[in-house]
Amino acid sequence: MVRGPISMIVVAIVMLAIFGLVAGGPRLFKNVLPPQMMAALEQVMEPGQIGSPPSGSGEFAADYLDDSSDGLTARGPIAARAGNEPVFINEVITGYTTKVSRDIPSEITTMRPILGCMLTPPLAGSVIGHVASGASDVPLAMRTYSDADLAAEVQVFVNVYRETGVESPFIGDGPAYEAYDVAVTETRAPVYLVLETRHGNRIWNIHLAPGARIERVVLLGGAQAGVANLDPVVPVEVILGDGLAACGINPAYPLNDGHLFFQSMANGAISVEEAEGKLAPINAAVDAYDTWFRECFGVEAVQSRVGFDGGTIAVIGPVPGETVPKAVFAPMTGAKIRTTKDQFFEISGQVAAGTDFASRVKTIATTFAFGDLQTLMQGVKF
Amino acid sequence: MLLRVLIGLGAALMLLGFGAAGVQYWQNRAAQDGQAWDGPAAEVAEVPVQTWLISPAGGLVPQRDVRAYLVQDRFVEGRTAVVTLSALLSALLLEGEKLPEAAYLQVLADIRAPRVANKVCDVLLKSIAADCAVNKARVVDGSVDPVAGEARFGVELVYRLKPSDEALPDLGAHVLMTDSVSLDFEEGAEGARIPEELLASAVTAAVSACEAVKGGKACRVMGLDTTWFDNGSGAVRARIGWLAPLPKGLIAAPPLGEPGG
Repeated sequence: MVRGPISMIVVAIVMLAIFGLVAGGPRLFKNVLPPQMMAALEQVMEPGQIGSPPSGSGEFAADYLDDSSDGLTARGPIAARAGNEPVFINEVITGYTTKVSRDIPSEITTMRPILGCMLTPPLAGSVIGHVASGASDVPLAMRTYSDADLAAEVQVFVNVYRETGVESPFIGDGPAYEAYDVAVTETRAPVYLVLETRHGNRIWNIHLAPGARIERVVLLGGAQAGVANLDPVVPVEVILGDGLAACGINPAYPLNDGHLFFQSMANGAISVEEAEGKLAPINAAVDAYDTWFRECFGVEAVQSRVGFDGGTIAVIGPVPGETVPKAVFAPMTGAKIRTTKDQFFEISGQVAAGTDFASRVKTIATTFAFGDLQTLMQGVKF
Repeated sequence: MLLRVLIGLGAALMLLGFGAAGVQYWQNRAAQDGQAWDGPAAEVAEVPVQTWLISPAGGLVPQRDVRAYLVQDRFVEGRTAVVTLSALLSALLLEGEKLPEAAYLQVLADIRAPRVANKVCDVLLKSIAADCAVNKARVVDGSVDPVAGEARFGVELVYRLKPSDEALPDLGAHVLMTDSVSLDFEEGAEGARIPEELLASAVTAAVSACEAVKGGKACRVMGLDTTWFDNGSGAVRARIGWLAPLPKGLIAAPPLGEPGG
């Protein structure tokens, strides 16, 4: 009598948990599961561990590169290398991991973006290492946010309260920095790194092969950006996304071959004239960015670009072999980080009670609601 | 041991289940109690048993419209007065409070939007409504102007009409007619100086439209919609409904199983 309903309840709970895990990721269970279980979950859900199966046998790195409307996306343990070709991560770096969400750096220095739009040009004979990447989905234990982020989350909190009548347990921690790894295997000349991101907060973690030298690092785009494990004497210059926009610089690249646009052209959904009309402004933007990039760094952005639209690591330099050594993974734990930051900055586990992102959201909502969240409730019962 | 665990778990589940049912019953009962209208009995309009009405084309009138017209003993979803207006953000503050940083103005305005709706119900209560309540009050997305210190708000009121001296005729022998009247007010025009005045103008327009109905019975205001701008301009739209005799040749065929049919 009792076993039937209990079994159904157990199955329902398991199904709900799996759904939550798939939809919201392991962070959804942060407040429920013990740290050991969270670590195990994050390991299983580590980028590159799950996702689409390889398109071929999985023998070649290209089998793990997805070419779709989302752009070029790494679906397995691959890195981007020169020519934006894929290479297996273990062929270019030793000790690689994306389990960095709990790593605590030892030193954080705040940088400011440069004033104006002029960057220091590379020295003659330097190698330009240009990484341009989309999201890595590798969150770090550091977050930075502004009043605008808090206000947006307060609105979400209010909407949920109005719908459910209870405080949302899923306020979140605020916008985290994402890590992206750059393995430098170029040892023939100093490397001038241009690291370019699109959205969000980004920490570029630099991993050098023995003998590799960095001349300068330029960080372009994103909301906030920084570098980890970079020699403190190496200069870093930053123009964030809003700075680029203010300078009239719009990073643009051609659409990838697998983009829906080209599929639509191939199947006749878009006529040739219509396609040309739509491609013209994209090509113009790409050309304009290429021109600016060449004037700044002496190379074209499209030609020099390394990095997929989705992935976690790029390699600057040759693929290591018998003569070229592999880069050595530099952990985030104990790393020295130089970064720009927003109004508020937090490191997990080092935030005073009541001053973390979620507490601020609740406090603001309650204050605006005259101290009583019940006043948020609206609507007449019909 | 396993049996004890199973029995214990079962008992706990039963307790949880019955507890949840009890809480739900208690909440429903509280909600029903809260809904109970505590106004004077004389202001409760007659509520007919029949829950369907015939359209001029001979079909059934949608239930939302039927309830908006017929059900006057409680609020219904289809009978609303929508007021869109501009208001100063300082009107949302308590005494001694200051406006927060610009980033928070939108969410502050959204949370405190009901404050701009407080006086709007009075307009209806002084004219056509026996009861009025704010059903929804929100800031219009992206409308906050930090420089001017104002925002636009959307307020939805629900109301029920004061009882009329005119009794409802035989519903089965009449059709529900509806019409709407619209008015635009230029900047600074009489009747649109403040949002409340514009709503009063909408009520007047609706009542006038009802009075102009010829050959109809029991004309009622079924909905109001006003849009007010802070330069004193605005627009109103009022929807009215009344009962007219069945056209010749039209025979009422009530839906099966409907009361009053």
